[in-house]
Amino acid sequence: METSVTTTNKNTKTKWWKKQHNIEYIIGFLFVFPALLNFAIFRYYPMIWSANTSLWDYSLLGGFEKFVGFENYHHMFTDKYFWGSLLVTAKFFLMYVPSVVALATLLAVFVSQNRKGMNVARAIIYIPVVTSFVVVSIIWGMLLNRQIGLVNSIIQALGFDPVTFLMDKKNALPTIAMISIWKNVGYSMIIIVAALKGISKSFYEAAIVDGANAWQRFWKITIPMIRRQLMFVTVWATLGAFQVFIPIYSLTQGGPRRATRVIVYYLYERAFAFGEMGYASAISIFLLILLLIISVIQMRAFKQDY
Amino acid sequence: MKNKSIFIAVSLLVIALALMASQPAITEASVINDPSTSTQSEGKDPVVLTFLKIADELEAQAFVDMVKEFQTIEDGKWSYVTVEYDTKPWAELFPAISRAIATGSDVDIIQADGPNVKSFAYNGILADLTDEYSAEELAQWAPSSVAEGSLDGRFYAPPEAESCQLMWYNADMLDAAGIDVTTTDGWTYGDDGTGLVNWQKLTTDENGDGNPEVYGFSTIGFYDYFYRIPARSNGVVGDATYQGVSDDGLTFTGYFDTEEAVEAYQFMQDMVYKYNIASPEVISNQMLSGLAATVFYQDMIIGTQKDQFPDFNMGAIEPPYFETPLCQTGSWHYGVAANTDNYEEAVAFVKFASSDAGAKYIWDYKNQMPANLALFNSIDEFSEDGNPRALMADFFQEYGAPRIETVAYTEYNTLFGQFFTDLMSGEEDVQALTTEYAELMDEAALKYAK
Repeated sequence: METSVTTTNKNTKTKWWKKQHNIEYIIGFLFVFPALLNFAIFRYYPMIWSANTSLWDYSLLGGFEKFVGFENYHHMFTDKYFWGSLLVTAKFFLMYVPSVVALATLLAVFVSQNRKGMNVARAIIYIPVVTSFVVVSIIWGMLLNRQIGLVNSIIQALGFDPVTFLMDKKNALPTIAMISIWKNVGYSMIIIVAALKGISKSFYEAAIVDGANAWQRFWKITIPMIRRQLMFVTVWATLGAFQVFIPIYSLTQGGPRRATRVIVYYLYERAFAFGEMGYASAISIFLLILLLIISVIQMRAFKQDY
Repeated sequence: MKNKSIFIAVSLLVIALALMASQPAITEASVINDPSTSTQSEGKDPVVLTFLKIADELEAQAFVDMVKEFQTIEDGKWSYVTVEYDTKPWAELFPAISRAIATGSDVDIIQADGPNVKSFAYNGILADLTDEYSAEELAQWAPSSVAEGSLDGRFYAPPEAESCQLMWYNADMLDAAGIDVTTTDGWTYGDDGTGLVNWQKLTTDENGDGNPEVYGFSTIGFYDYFYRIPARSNGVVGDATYQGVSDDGLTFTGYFDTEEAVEAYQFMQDMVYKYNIASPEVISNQMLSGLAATVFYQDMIIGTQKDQFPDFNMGAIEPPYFETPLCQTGSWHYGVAANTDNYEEAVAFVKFASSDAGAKYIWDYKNQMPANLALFNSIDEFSEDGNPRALMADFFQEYGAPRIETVAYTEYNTLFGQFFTDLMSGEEDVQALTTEYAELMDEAALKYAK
């Protein structure tokens, strides 16, 4: 009897969700569903909300007061402080991104050697990545203090005058860049180390047989072989450069003389100190578009698929 | 069968994750009292008031005891009420309040710094408590505290405490420098002032590298609360420099950048770059850790000294000034959120917290000058000869003035911080800098004129 029933069922049309192909699809979808939900709620919805807010005169305290269309964008393009903050961000980008990529590559090559102590070196370089940026910013602030900072003690012990790092408009941004590089270079280094480990030794052996020197091997073999990872590191560092906030919030609050007022800090200030959330949203949408354009250009420059 | 099992397992996993995600996140908030442990008042459902306030460990302890007593007053009428605290660091409190209001969070009570009360009241964040207080009840606080908690004649926020500043000093250093402090009169700022001479004596640069080991005068946080005082003190009561902002609180040009104010700011900068008696950068507890000889601060420094530097020999005199002695008053206030669902309970708690009975807990734990006059008068320290608190109380009554009164205080204070950072970084043209920021302040306040 049971056999008969089974036979009958087999003859009926299989439900779509019982098909092997679809089951795999559904299981796969269920695995990514929490992540998609997370993205939808915490990434895309705020973006859409922000885009809508940018068209309003909106403040957290006063709420949506008036629909202003593209007035916030017009204000943005005529706001000299917005352009000033964009310029500061560009300067930070130029200090930060090439330094992170170059330093991470050099450090990765260094710690990839089969020598004693390289694992320890990797760990030491990576430790800042897993520490709180707020905490390390405060510690750096103490280290760099003109009167009591360790760095100035060393500088003076070497016979030089003490340096005002964070309260000097010329030194403040490079100092923030230096702290950010120190904090983040370990992450990029690990990515590149993984790429270096994946390069077959046979390439180098062949190059040596052909008479290539160390520089030629590095430039002609290593760099092309880690091009994908370099692209990732560059894009990642660029995104970080355009979104730098914590060390500035913790150490300089955009000063002195707006020397460290990067675009994200300016955005934060307009939103929370000046209650101009609509205007801040317009800046954030501009930043989003700018970063998309820069990322596409960078990926094209590295000639990678995206 | 195998696929079906996997399908069910994964489905259960996803459901579990979704359920976990839907649980309320653990926040900084901490429930001090459990409603279930309180005596219930005549079958009323427990009410938990959410109090958005500054992170302050001593204050938190004070509220634990305060809430316990609150639950017993009026024959346990409020025993069904407990308080949950959502605490933020000072710099994040204002944005947190803004966020809470914007997102419709269930906040019942808001702790507002005095000058922000007007902004919160203007924006409809605080409930109007005018009808909740009789004239007699309002008289329990210093008039300046009531004024700080009011806007346009309406009362919004009773005070938690009061404040005033003195100049605190390292008694051993002053003694070694031969500086007489038998009179507690404040030193005067300026190139010809008494302060400069004394601070120069107190500054020590033993190795002569131009980077003193001990500065005469501490550099503290670049807030209006501290650093607007020298400029205002270069005016006389009632003039534009002293007043600091127009009567309607919306115009800064002609008040922030008067000739006298610029002179004061120039001297503050000269203290760093011309006379080298103060550091350009802020150092936490600079005087108490021996890196400066004096500091301009409120009485809360006594608590820090007792807790962290018990052997420090500290004294106090009246604060330094140019023409008119001045301390800026005001402190925290309790506000009831306009959109609270627990208005009756929130008002009851706020009334109790700001009464002499409630304020006593703040004094016991935090040792900050009470705004409540009955409590203030009952504390010996404020009347003992030679006690710095008595000196401060006398100075408060004679020379205390509220911080500048403007609905744009948050914007103004942000710009003031930037202005003073620029000043202390050595910006050469102080007049131009001051004028530039006065205009920015005007611009920021303009929206409130609409």
